[in-house]
Amino acid sequence: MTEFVLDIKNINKSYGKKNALTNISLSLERGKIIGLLGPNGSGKTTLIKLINGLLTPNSGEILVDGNPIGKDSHIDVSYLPDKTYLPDWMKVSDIFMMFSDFYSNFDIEKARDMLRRLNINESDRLKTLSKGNKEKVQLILVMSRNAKLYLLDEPIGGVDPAARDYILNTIITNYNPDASVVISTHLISDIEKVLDEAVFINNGEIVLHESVDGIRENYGTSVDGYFREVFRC
Amino acid sequence: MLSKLLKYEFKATGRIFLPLYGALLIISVLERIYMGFTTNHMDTIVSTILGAILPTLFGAIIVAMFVVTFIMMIQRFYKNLLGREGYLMFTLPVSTSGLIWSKLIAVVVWTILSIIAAVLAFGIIFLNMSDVSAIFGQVGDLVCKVFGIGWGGAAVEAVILILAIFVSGILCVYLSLAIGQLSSKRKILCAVGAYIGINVIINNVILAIIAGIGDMELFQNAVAAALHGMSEIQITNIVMIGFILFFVIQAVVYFLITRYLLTKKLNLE
Amino acid sequence: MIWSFKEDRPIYSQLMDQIKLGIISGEWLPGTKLPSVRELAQEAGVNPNTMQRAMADLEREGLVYSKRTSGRYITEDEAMIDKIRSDIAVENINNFIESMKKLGYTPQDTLNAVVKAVEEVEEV
Repeated sequence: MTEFVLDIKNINKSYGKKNALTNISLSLERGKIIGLLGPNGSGKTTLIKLINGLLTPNSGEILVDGNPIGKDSHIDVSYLPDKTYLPDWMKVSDIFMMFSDFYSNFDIEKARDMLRRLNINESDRLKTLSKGNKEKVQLILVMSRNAKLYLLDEPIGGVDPAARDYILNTIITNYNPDASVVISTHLISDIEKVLDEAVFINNGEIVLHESVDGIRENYGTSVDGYFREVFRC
Repeated sequence: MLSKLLKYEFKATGRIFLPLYGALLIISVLERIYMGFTTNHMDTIVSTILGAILPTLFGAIIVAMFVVTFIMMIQRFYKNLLGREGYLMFTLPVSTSGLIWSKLIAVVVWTILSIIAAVLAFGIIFLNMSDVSAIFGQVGDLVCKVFGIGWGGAAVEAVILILAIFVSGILCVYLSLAIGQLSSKRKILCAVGAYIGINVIINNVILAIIAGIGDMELFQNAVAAALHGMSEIQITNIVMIGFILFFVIQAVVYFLITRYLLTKKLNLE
Repeated sequence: MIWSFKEDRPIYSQLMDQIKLGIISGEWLPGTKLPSVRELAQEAGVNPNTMQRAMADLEREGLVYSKRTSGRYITEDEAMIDKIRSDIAVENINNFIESMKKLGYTPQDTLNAVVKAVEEVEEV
C-alpha cells in the first residue's frame, strides 16, 4: 500500500493550443472524501478523465495506488462520468453481470440491495428508466465496487434535493477508511458537510488544497463562502 | 478477459443478427412452400401478391444482412469504443488489444455466419435433398481432385488470403477511426480522410515496389533464376504466400498503430 | 436530533456543541450508548472523519467514554453534565450582554430589562 491513493505529478494537458491543465500536482490520502471544486470549464472533468485514462496527458505522471494508468489502475478506480454512458438496450441485470464479470471487486449483492431500496427492477431495461433512475443505477454500480479511489464527476448537478440527499447519504454509508472519494462539483454548499478536504481548481490550476474545517478555522467562513471570495468575478 | 469481452460483444451484436437470420430462414421456408403451391396451378390474387412480396423481402433481407454487417463493423468500434460507451469500455480492467480483438473477431464471425445463412437460404428455396447430397458429393470430388493433383495447398492459401485481405481491410477502418478520434471536432471527417490517406500511401508503396523491380535487371534475373525449374504449383505457392504476407504485414501494422493510438493518445470527449 | 450548521465555524466544533446540548437537554440520558460514528455521521449528514474528530474531542473532555469493545457511552458523571450546563449558560449570557451592548444597553440596563421580562412571564 502506497502512502497516497492518488499521486499526480506535474500534469500538463492541452487541447490543441488551448491549455486545459497547467502543471497540476495533487496527492490524496486514503480514507478521505475530497471535493474537487471549481467553476464550469475549470478543468475538473479533464483531470478526472486523465485519471481514468480516457484522455492522456501531454506530460507528467499519474499513479493510482502506485500503478500508472492502465489495466491495473482501472480495477482500483470506480468512476461515475458526468453523463450517462451505459448501453441503453441492456437490462439492469445485464449490466450487473457485466460488472461482476469484469470487476473482481464488484459486490453484486450490495448492488441488488441498493436497487431494491429504490424499487427498481433488475429486469428493467435501462432505456425504460427515467433519467433520475438511470443516474441512480450508475451510482449503485460505482458505489458497489470495493475500489480504492472513487471518482464522481458532477454527481449532484441537475438532480432534485431528494436525489441529492440520496447520493450524499450513499457516499457516507459506503465510507471506507482505506478508500478515498473525489466529488467534483461547483455546488459547494450542498456537499460541504460531507467533505474532509477541498481542492480548488481554476483555469486549469490548483489554487488551494486544504481541509474543510481548516478553511473554516483559518478564514472564518464556509468553504462555499471562501470559494465565492476566491472566484469572485 | 478476451472471452468475456467476446461474450458481451456477441450479446450486443447478436440481438441484431440473430433476428435477421431468423427472418431470412422463415422467408425462405415460406417462399419454398409458395413455390410448391404455384406448381400446383393455384392462381389466385393472394398467390400473385405473395409471388411479388416474398422474393422482394428475401432480397431485402439478404442485402440488409450484409449492409448491417458493414455498419456494425464501424458502429461497434466508433460508438462502443470512441463514443460515450467508451467511458465504460476503456475503464474496464482489460487491455486495449483485447478490445480491438473482440471487435475484429465479432465482425469476422458475423460475416462468415451471414454468408452461411445466405447460402442456406438459397438452398432452402431452390434445392431438394437429392440436390444437396449431389452438390456435397461434387464438392467432395472437387476437393479430392484438387488435393490429388497437388493444388490443395494453393486452395488453402487462397482461403487464407481472402481472410487476410478481409481482416486487413477491417483493421484499416479501425485505424482510420482511431486517427479520426484524435481530432477534437471533426472526428468522422478526419477518419474518412485518414482512410483515403492510408490507401493512397499503400498504393504508392505498391507502385514504388513494382517500379523498383522493373528498374532492377539484376533482381529480375535473380528471380528468374530462382523460379527456373520450378513447377507451376510451386510458383503459385510462392506468389500466394507473398500476397498473404503482404496483407498480414499490413494488418499487423494497422493493429499496432491502432493500439498505440487508443492507449497513448486516447481522446474521449 | 435535528442537526444544523452555521457557516462561520468548523463543523466538528458545531457537532460537539449539538451533542452537548443533546446531553444537557436530557435527549441523551447519562450512561446511554451512543450510535456508531458511521450512524451518527449518516444521521447528521456529515463526513465520518469529522464526526470521529468531534467524538474524540468530547471523549477528551470527558463527556463521553468508550468501552473497548462495545462502543461509546454518555458519561454518568452528573456533576460534569451540570458543569457543562452552567458553562453554556454563562457563555449564552455573555453573548447576550454583548449583543445588548450593541443596542446601547449597559449591563445594568440589560439586567433591569431581563428582570422586568421575567416578572412579566411569571405573571402570565
